[in-house]
Amino acid sequence: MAGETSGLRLSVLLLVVLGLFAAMFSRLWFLEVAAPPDLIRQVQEKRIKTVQLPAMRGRIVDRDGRILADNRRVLSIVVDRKAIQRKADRTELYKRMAGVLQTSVEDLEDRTTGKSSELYEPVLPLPLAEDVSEEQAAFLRERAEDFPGVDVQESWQRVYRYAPLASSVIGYLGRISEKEWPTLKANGYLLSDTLGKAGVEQQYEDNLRGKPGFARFEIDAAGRPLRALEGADNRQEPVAGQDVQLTVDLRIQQYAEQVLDAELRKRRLERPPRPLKPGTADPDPTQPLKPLFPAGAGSLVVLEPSSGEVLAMASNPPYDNRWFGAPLSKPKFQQLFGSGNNPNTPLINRVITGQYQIGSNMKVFTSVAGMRYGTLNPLDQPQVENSKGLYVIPNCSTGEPSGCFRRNSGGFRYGSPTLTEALTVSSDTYFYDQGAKLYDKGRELGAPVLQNELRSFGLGAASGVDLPDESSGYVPDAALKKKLADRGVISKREGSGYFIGDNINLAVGQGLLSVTPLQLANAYATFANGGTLREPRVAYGLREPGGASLKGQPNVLNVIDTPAVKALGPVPREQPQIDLPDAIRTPILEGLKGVSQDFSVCSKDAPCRGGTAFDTFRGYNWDAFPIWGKTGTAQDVTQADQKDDSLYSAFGGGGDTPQYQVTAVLEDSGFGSSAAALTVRCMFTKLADRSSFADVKPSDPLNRNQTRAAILPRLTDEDQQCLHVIDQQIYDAAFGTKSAGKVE
Amino acid sequence: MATALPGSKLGLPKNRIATTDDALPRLLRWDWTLLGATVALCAFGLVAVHSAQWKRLHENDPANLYYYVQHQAVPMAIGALGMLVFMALDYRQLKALAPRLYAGTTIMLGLVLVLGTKRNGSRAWFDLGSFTLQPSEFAKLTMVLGLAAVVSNDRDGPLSYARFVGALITLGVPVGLIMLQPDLGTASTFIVVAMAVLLVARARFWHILLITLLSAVTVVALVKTEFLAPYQVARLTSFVDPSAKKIDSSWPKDKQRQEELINAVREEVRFAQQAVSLGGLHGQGFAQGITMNGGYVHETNTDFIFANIAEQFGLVGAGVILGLYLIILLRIMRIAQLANNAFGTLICAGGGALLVWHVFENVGMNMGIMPVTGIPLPLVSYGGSSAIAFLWLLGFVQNVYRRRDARD
Repeated sequence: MAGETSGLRLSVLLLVVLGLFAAMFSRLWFLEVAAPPDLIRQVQEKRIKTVQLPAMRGRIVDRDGRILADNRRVLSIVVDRKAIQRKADRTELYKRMAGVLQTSVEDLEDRTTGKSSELYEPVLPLPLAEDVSEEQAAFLRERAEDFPGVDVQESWQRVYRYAPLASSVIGYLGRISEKEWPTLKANGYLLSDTLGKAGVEQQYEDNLRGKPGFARFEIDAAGRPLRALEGADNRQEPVAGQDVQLTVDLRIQQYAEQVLDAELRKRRLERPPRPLKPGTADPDPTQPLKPLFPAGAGSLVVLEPSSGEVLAMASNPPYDNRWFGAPLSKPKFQQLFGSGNNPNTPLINRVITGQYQIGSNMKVFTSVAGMRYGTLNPLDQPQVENSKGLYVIPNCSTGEPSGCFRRNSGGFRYGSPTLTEALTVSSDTYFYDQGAKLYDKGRELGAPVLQNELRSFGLGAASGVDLPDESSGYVPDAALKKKLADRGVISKREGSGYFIGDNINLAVGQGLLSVTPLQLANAYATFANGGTLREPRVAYGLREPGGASLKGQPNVLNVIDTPAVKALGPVPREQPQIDLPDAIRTPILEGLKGVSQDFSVCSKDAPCRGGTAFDTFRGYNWDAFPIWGKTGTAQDVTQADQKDDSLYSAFGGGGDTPQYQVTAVLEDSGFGSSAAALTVRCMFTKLADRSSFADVKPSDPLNRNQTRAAILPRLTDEDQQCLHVIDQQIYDAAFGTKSAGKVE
Repeated sequence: MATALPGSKLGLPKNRIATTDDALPRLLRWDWTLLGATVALCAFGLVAVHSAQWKRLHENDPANLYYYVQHQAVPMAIGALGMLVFMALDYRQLKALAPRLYAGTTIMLGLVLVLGTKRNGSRAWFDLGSFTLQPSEFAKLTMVLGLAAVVSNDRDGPLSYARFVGALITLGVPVGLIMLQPDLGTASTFIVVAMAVLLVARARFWHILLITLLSAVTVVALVKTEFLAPYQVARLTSFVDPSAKKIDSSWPKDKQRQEELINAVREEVRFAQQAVSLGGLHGQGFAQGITMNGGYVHETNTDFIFANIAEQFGLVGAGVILGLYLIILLRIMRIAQLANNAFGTLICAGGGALLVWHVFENVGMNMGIMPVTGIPLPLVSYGGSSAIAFLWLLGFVQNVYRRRDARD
């Protein structure tokens, strides 16, 4: 054939062939033997799926070991939002899913684009069904190819067995908010995690949460696990969270919530007598009767003065923390909890966040200050009323913003009582006088003596209770007034200084003083325990997960300390112990004992009177269970047509040392001697025999159609008697248990 | 073979050099090395096809575990039979037949544009019920024959102008039709064949350069005029910039779909390389291997079968495959030298170029150094048309070898 050129050109072709093979062999060598680690790693990451193994959250148990917050394993079906972006893909998928999940395409579409869609986090996979069966989950897992983007999520669901009881103490779990995310992400949270958003759930989040584990799987392109990777780098078992045992006794808690709720409802039903028909002696049935008391909210707290442990903490209106176990639509949320500025929202724990003037409850602190600074001798009977029964501010200038004259509440005249008598009948004039004298004493010493005394009792600073969002309240002084005037809450003239009138108001617990029910209870507890101001506690201790028995106290990991004093808030407590020598304490205790007894005080210019709450405590078994208490009626000066807040704080118990401190604050409910005192009396009656508290039963499942934030278990007929519930029908209507959901 | 074939009348030259296989009957005068390598490659191919799909079939459709092996063995048998026939014929008679064969496949290429079914964006297959036929695979064969026939000239001196133009036309028509499918990969094989044939046929270098330029311009034009779907472009460019994310805003409407496809292609190329990497020296074993079985790479028994072999049989397995190809190619080159006329030499040159280009393009794309196209790995990738065509081609080559000393 061909000549030389052709042969030469064939060689060129041969060279090209050899060159190409050299290229292929070297690339093959490079990839198989000297593979670039980058390439492998980059691709490997795509092939490995890290699955978080959720740690079981610690349980919350009550004082007796009842499991209040438990966990249940649930399987949910979610779908990757990428897989359902296109309408056609989605419809196709949903048609197949609807059969498996026993739902409708419309329902699934509603979750995706309809009304329900806003309930779900747009950044997370969309949940198509919650709490599905193992069979359904297995079916979907095995056919991952036919259900692109669909995944089964395993998680623990929080179960509140006794809800709504103690909901405001326990709190609830919620989704991570945008603001929290950066910090939580750094702490190993996933965006799909939930965490404590209120109460103990929030406070002890770090203990309860445990440590999530993880497992790494090699997956195929459809996301199905091919095999689990081994080794410590690839698998870490989750560590369950610690259990938290509360100091709260759920039986006492149940009763506290019930009795508070019942009393508020009873107050709301009270009507003034009907006006008479003109010209007759008959009531006019056509005249509408406005309720006397709004009685929209209240608090009741039971403390152990010796330890600071909270036995019960009731905030009203109550809510059911199970509402937050599933997404709530906005309208439903508003129906249950009201709009953002609803003053009676159930979602705050009023015991620690409600701020009240404390009215006559203040008088014990004024008494201590007076005796400590020598302005008050308990046996003196100072002349504090003029001939008209009025107290006149000494050296009163016309410039005094609140005027120069003060009268007793109700216009009563008490003449010249001793300290004990003044406390018993709750004389205002006696303490106006002290307010003025302490004001002068303060100027003389160059220190606000009454305010300092209040602060030593823990007012004006957070009590340090182990619950989130506690208010510190405030003790009025010149600085506070200036701040309020700057903010426009009070007038500039009022805010120009701290006047004698301010101190007189403060001495009887009116004016700008603001105290939470827990602060009040804790301060009163110091009289019961001899002067130790404790940090109240709702958690008794932490336990290792899975302890054999939660009854009793085996397996206690560590008892949460209730330190006698801990500096908290802006005002450090300077004294570790409040100095309450018998000389100071005894006359006060005497007075407090008289408050609830028919302990008549007579003087020549005043008729004989019993203690302010004696009527309410008629028939109480004093010998078995003595109590020392004080009524308080606080006028809310900021809101003109609001009714008085009703307060009663008392400690008592059999034997020498009072074992319980009970404080009740019922908003807009009238005199402290009626509403609050009755509630406290009922509580003490039960506390006298702790076995008398009704048993608690695990609650029925939450009816998500109900319109009330919580439906409390019904008070037993026997327990209703304490509240003087006379008309059973009215009670049922008020309590709403007979036709739950209808009566509001 | 003593039957009256025209070429055989010429008899053997008296002065020929005796070779070792002179003693063999004429029918058995094969290039045994070439034949052995071919058989080994086919066998390895069947194992690889079986291994690539074993796990999937075993899990989903165990009754049809041998589906792919059976469906590949049939065309291989047809191919082997054809190989025997082409071996028996005198290839020089093919020179006269070439125009008719060429015309036949070119008509089929035209018909497939009208009657064919679309797969992976290209209309390149006739659906004939139980099997499909890809005419472009046979067109490759007739292209080799056609070009060799047009340019073969046993006189010395450079290729005449007329023959060059003839070659251009011979090349241009089927390439144009294949570009319409569109299937750039297959079109490229035609061009490479033409370049090799022209090179060996002593074409002027600027002629070869002209073809190169023309091809380059065509490819650029196709990309620029959006004749190709973006993901097809992505396949082509994936080896240049596997991480590039830029999508031309003028690309068709469902952008999201386009992007998904593009990313899928790039992903697939990365995973294919990873599969090769994971193979190591010995591989993961028969039917093992996570990348391929995990569905990260599709077409595990066709386009990406080399990555699959590398993952499952390692450097050893992939090396054996490449080695077999090298043996076959070296033999073809040798036979091109031995051929006793220009037509035979050119068949070998064109066929060799066709084979080496297929191997390099397919293996290269599996290892991320060549663009992704649908070019199969000869005799290994699952696909009947290609297997038949290559076996026939090797039959031509064997024929050239067998008649190396017959004087024209």
